[in-house]
Amino acid sequence: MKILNWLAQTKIWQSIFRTKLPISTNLDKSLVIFNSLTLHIHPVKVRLRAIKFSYTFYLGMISFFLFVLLIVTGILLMLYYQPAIPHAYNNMKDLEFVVSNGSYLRNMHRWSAHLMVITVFLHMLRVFYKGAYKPPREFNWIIGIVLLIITLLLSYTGYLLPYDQLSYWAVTVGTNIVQYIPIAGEKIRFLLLGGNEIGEYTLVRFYVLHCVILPLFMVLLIALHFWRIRKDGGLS
Amino acid sequence: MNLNRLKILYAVISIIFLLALAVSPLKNYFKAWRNIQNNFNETVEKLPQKVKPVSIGLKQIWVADLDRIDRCTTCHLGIDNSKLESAPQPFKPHSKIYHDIEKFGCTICHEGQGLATEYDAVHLPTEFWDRPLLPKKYIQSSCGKCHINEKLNSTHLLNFGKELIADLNCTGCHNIPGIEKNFVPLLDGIGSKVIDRNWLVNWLKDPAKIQPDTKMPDFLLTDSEVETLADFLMSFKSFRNGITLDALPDVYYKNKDEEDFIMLGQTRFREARCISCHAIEGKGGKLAPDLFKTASKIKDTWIYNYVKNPKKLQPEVEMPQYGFSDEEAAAITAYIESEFVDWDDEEETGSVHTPLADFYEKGLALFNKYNCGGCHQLSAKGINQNAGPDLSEIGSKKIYQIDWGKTNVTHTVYDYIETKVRSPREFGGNTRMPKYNLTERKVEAITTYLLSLKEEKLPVNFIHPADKKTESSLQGKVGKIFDRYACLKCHSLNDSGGSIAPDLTIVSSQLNTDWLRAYFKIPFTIRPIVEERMPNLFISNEEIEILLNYFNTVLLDDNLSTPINWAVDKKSEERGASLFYERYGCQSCHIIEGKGGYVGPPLDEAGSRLKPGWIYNWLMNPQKFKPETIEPRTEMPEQDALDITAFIMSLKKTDK
Repeated sequence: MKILNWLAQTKIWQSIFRTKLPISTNLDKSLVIFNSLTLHIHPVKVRLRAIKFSYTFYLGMISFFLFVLLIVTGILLMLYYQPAIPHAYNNMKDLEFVVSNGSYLRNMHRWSAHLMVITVFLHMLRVFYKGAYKPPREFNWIIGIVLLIITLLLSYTGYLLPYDQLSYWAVTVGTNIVQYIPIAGEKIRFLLLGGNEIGEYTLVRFYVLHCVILPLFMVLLIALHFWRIRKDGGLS
Repeated sequence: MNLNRLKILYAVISIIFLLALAVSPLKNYFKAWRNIQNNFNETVEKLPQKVKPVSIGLKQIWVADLDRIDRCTTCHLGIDNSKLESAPQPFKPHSKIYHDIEKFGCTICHEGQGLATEYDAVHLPTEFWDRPLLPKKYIQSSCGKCHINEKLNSTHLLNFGKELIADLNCTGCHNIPGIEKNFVPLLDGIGSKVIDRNWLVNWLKDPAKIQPDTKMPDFLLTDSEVETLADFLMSFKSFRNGITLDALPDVYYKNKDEEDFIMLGQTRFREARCISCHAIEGKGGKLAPDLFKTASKIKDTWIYNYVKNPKKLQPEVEMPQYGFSDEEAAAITAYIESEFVDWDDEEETGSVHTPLADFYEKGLALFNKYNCGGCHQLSAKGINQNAGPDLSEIGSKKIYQIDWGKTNVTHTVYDYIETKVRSPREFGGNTRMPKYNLTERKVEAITTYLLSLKEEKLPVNFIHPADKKTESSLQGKVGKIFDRYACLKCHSLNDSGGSIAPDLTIVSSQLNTDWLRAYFKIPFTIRPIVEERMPNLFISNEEIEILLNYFNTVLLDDNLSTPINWAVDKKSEERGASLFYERYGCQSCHIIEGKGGYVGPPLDEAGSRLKPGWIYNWLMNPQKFKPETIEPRTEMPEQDALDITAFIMSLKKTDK
């Protein structure tokens, strides 16, 4: 405790954390929340009954936690992965047989992804049945829908990356469906595949989508989503 | 909610999570290969010979050229250590091999999941790897990936498979690169060839029942299909290009039951050595159909015409056109008619068969359905090619592309091919591939060859394609004679042709013209232990002169001569004789004057048969001319070779 107290007095600590210790008054407490990026997701004051489990089932937060988990495991997986043929599939084999805890890493990523789709979907159901989409939260509902779509797209683009039979045919079927979009269908398919059939460029495109473009939008929209929760009046 | 209870719950869940997290590193640590490596070090310690223990860790061979990583050596630790011959598996060294393991890796030949490090994943067929470990019996298929069309001594099964595929004419329906189509009789005029429609019906039902070694497979036709097809075929009475059969000469009808006439036929039949190619009741050559029962199948007029000139009726057949006179041909026909009869043949019932009204259309449809035209030519409108699948990359066929039907076959490419070759209709009712009666070894051989046909793109420096044979096509009169007597079916010329008889490329440098002239008239065996001989083709004198002329002007090697200052004298001859008998002991293989071994040809008349330049050069290096000859290369000095040549040249034919 003594060391902590001393630490809190140093210039470095004080330059990082604005709030002066000790925290005694209500103002101090609210300043802690107010001055922190992560904590100010909640209003300064939250009533205990407002965070009751049965209100939200914590589904949004679980989804977000899974997303963080996916980012961490995903970055680690990127260290062992080359988006090239036939290396992509061989890399799966390396992860399974050679990389320390490689299977664990990959399974974590895969199961988290499946779980995230489920929790995001349940989250949406919860919002719907509790009527939490009603004004003033209608815009956040829309953001939520977009987030669901991005989640599904992330799952889908990740599906191709192992480059096995399952992924190959999933992408074949998916891109063939895209083809039936009127007017632009053919063009979109060409854009996605990076050519007229699945090949090296498809893999690279899906890789970039999966690891850069979609997560970037996801992070931005999540931030917006959270910010809107607060601005629209907090939870429930 | 009670805050204390929440804390306990939180603590318990945290501990469970931590334990769950520990599973992964533990699993990592207890992998089987670590155990095997420790085991190896213990085994090695107990051995009397000194073998270095290995450091524990994953081992792999990275073949950059092939872009392959094989981790097999993680457990197969003694793969290149001959000291471990007595060690248990997986520590035994690899059997003798011509390839550097470091340069080739393991899976390029053995296939299997080289990236894996667990027994099941590596060795057993798995859903996640299309090319499981190749069973040992098919290992030669991997040789064929690089050694394309090369007939290696160590790949007998692969070579045999290729021969079988050519022999059974699989290319009639399938595209298989590097294999030529075989001769199959064309069917024009079959209605005028076959005596009895019933024969055709029985033949179509089960060809092997009539001719056990036939190449025609069993198409498993239904009875009604057989009837329709027989009617369809019997309707083709006229021959191709408006050819008509010559009538048998009167002498045939006058004498066909006379013993002398039949004897003449039999003598000619023997002189022509028909049996070299045609078996009779299973005894004899395998190049052409068994003649047993022929007379019960084919009309005598057809036989007569065919003996006289096979290419008239079957333009692509390789049977030589013997120089028989009409009478001789008729006599041979009479001999065949009297001898090669199926005595069990049912008496003709005499009932007249009337085909159905639409037999032609239905027959044509069947003919096309089973792609009869893939092998047999038939000039009829509406015949189209209805080939089977392309097999040029069958060895790389993807598992998901295979229709397994209701079979219980393990899902691997080799099991698929093996089953398909053994029983072609196994995978479903719509397949139309006929059934071949193959022994297990033949099934294995064909499977091995087919497995070697991969789409895999290997680096150029790994591929060893055999030199492509250049078809030498002789033109003009010589070409016609070679064609007529089918010389290149047995003999080879400039690397193309058969491998049954000696190469003719430099025949004129080897053999004496006068000897050749006499040999054409009466061929005989050169070696006492080889029964086969050239058939008497009854070549006319004029043709012999054309051939000899051609041999003497073209088929020789200018470098094969004796040194310029070589002169034969008595002294040299005597010295040669003593070298022959004492120094080199040639008589242990060659007979002279009734004494000596019988492996090589007798040399009694070698002086009249061979040319001195040939003998001299042969003695210096026999393998140069016949790589497979067993005559030893003795590295004799030039003078010795010259003296022995002089001695052999003195062994001339004496006219008595």
